[in-house]
Amino acid sequence: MAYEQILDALTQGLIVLDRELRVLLWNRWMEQHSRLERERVLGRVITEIYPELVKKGFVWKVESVFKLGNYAFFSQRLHRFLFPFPAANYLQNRYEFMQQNAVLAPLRGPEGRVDHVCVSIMDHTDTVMYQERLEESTKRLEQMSQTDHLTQVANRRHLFDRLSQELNLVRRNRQALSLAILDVDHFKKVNDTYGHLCGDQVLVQLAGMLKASLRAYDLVGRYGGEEFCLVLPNTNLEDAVALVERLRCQVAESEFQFGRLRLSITISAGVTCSQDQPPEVRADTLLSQADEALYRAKTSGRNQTELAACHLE
Amino acid sequence: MRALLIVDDSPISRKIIRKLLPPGPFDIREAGNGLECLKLYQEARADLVLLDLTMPGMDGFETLAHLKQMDPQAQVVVVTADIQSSSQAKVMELGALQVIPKPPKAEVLRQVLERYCP
Amino acid sequence: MTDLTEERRDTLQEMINIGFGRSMSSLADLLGVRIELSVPDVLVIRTEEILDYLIKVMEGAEEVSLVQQGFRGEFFGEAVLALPCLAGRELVAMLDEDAGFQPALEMGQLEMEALLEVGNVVIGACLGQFADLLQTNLSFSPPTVLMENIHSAYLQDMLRARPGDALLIHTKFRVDQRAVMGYLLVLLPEDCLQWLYREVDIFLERMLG
Repeated sequence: MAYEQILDALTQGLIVLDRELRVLLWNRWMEQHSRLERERVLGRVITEIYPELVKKGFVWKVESVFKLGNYAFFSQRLHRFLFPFPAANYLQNRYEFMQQNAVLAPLRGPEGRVDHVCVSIMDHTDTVMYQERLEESTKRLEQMSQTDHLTQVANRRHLFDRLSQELNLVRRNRQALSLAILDVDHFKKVNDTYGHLCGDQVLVQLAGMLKASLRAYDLVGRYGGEEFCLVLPNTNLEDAVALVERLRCQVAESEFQFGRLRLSITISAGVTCSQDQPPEVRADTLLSQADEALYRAKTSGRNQTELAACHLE
Repeated sequence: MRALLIVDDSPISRKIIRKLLPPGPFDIREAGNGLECLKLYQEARADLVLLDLTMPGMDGFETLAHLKQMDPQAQVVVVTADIQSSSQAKVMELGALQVIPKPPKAEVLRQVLERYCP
Repeated sequence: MTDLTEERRDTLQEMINIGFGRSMSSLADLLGVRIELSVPDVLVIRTEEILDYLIKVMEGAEEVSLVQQGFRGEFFGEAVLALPCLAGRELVAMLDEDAGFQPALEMGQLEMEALLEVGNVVIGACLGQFADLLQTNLSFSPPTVLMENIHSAYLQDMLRARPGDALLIHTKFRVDQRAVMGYLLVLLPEDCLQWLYREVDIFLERMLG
């Protein structure tokens, strides 16, 4: 059979190199994508034709195949591509260069010694493109499933998940985590007086205000109707109370807008912290502690911050 | 009769070496670890010790060092899969005669015996 | 016929010892370092118990890097190179100084590439030598690297994906004067054990005549 023809019929690149990295075989796929005719390549050292291969660790890998007889791989995920060939699909041109996976395999002589290395190159541009699209839409969906539709902060479920995660993390690092629940005072009156759209608008603005004043690794979530929750990792009780107090004053001093309407609101808050509690304290325990503190803030006159009972002397 | 001592933690490996030795007559003793090797050698010296390197507890390097201390004339050939150049250099420095890579070949063992205990 | 008899266990242990020793030796010389080897262990284990076993042998390392690679031929299975997390950095330094290993990547990726490459070489060369002793050939899937907490659910799912018995061969190594130590675990599923035991018998027959 004509092996040459078979190699040329392959829909992947095939190169054979000797110990000096000279090219002994260059199949048609390689000719087509490199735009280098066989005659111009055979016998030449591959790193002279493609000097950038050195930076990708190519020489090292070829060396190890010669010495150890293992297979070596270049993954698209790490290197994107081995040879800088233009991407073939010109219609959806996400990539300038063809995305490739490559395998280096040992070719042994009659005595079992590795005499040559075979390099095969696969075009993975399509797969990568679909995969990236899939990842993008998965990410979008995930984001949607974690976000409260109205206020665009974390929803209740995501809030609970993250709280549990963060709690695990601070436990391992022996740090403290604080948790606050904030509730808009007399929110029902806002709804009843100015309508639900106005109420919604107040919640949106309040959520934005909370988000803007927190650190990147803090989390704001919508806990209930007009209740928001703050998860504050690596924060002790004292700092958490100071932060919540600052937010409470800021809210009280701010003007909320709905069309031409200007209105003022206040919030009440309950705060708790994982410090001085058993290390295995759970998310729902912290939530009920903060909830109870919030209830006391409400009953003792609103527009104030209360500590969880376990932190009161 | 020439006395041989085969030291290897693997019983299979000792069996293989025994099998591949040229026709004797030999007085062959086996040790499954370094300590046993030293004990057997002290009881009666051997003309040649075939010593593995990778062994639990006292490894071949340590055994070799003790052996040479006990008997500077001890003839030791190392039979091992650890063929890194640093290991080779180390055992030669400790006084081994030669390193045979595992699995050993009958021909190589024959040459070794001819050379070191004719 | 299908049991892991004492004799087969000893033989497998010695075969892996040879394969691992030779491949690690080449790797050591390629990198210009010294690698201390230890005697491999061979045991039959339920796949769901592997994680607990791994936790035990990793001696309390919580964050681990795992390079995982499948192999296929007349026998098949999964090889895992397990290193404590910090080993990645050390490997980068080691590869960097020697042998012209210089992919232009960012640190995190470079670490991954170093792990992949070393894992690939260790696994490929060791099992290649092992297959060679069995007079057969193996092909390898591209390696994947995982940097995970040893208790992660992903790891548990991965190891539980194929319930049943497996033959576990594991061996420890340590790179001299570097904080790099690790374990090579080779897992062979129930399905290919019959073949393996037969071939081990043949190997022994060949060696002992």
